[in-house]
Amino acid sequence: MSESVESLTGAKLPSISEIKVERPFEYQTEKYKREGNLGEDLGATAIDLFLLKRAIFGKSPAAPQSLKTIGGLPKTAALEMPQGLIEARFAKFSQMVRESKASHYGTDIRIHGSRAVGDAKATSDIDVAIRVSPEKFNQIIKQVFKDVKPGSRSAAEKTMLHAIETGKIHRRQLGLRTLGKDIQKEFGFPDVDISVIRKGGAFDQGPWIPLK
Amino acid sequence: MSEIDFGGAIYTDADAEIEKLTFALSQLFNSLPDKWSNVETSVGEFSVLKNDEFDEQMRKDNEDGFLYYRYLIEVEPNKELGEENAVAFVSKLLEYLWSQGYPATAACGYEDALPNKGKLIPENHNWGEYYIWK
Repeated sequence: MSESVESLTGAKLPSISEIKVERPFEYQTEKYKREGNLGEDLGATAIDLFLLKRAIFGKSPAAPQSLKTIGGLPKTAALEMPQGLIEARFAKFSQMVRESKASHYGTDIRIHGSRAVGDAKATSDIDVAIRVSPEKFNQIIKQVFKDVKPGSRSAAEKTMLHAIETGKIHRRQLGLRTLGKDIQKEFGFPDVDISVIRKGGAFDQGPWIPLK
Repeated sequence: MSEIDFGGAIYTDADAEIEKLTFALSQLFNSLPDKWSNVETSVGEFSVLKNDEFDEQMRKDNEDGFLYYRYLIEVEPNKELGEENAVAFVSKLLEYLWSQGYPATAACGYEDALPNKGKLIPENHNWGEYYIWK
């Protein structure tokens, strides 16, 4: 099968096992040692920077306030701001989402997952949920899967049935991939998970931080 | 909503770090990924994402297991170039993944036009150990 791939490209392609890339943490560590500033463009949080500095220098700089705060919180409590964003940046984030196609699906838009709880790493994604009623959810299913042939047993049909079963519609199916990329570029999060979530479904679980 | 949508997804259980996988796929189109595993080419774009529903056991199910593979590749073929381009674009990605021995399944509106109808689990595939880069 590799021959057909090579014939498509006209060049010998490397096996994935032959490829060497810099691991993000090594890259960040070297960048910090070299330039003394790290993380803002990669979405690193104050906690990440604190832990990284400690790893590099072998001593403890002053712990950021957010770390002290999180240490005293139960796991189920949401932060006031998503981890990795200050208030002004969260306002900008909220504005970007609300002015996008995401708001066509619903206005109850919230952050959840590790960045709402406060246990995110620099490599953690940010999870955005557009919470809708079961009736609205069904409407959106019909809209975004309108080309799926019922009973075809295609992979596309299986993704639709999976979305119905779990109560979650992924950003790609919603046409929100571009918004995800724009948020990555603006805020540096490694990944942006934007979903429509059915109220009362398996993914309808906080803690939540509502958008501004 | 009435515009033609050639977008879709490829689910793959690649036994490789996301950076390596994205780089290898970008080379198919003489391109390079950005630092968030997005790749732009003249014939389309794709993004490699970790599947947040990855499940070590459920991925082995022959029918629906692809929903639980390790990676999800969002594909957006260039709309201007039509369905033929979309089929070629997704086929190229699939064939490379299969050539590396990775299970891969495409979910899109033109699955029947893809090689092997867009789905292949290599024969005697070894699902292996749980990867260290979980």
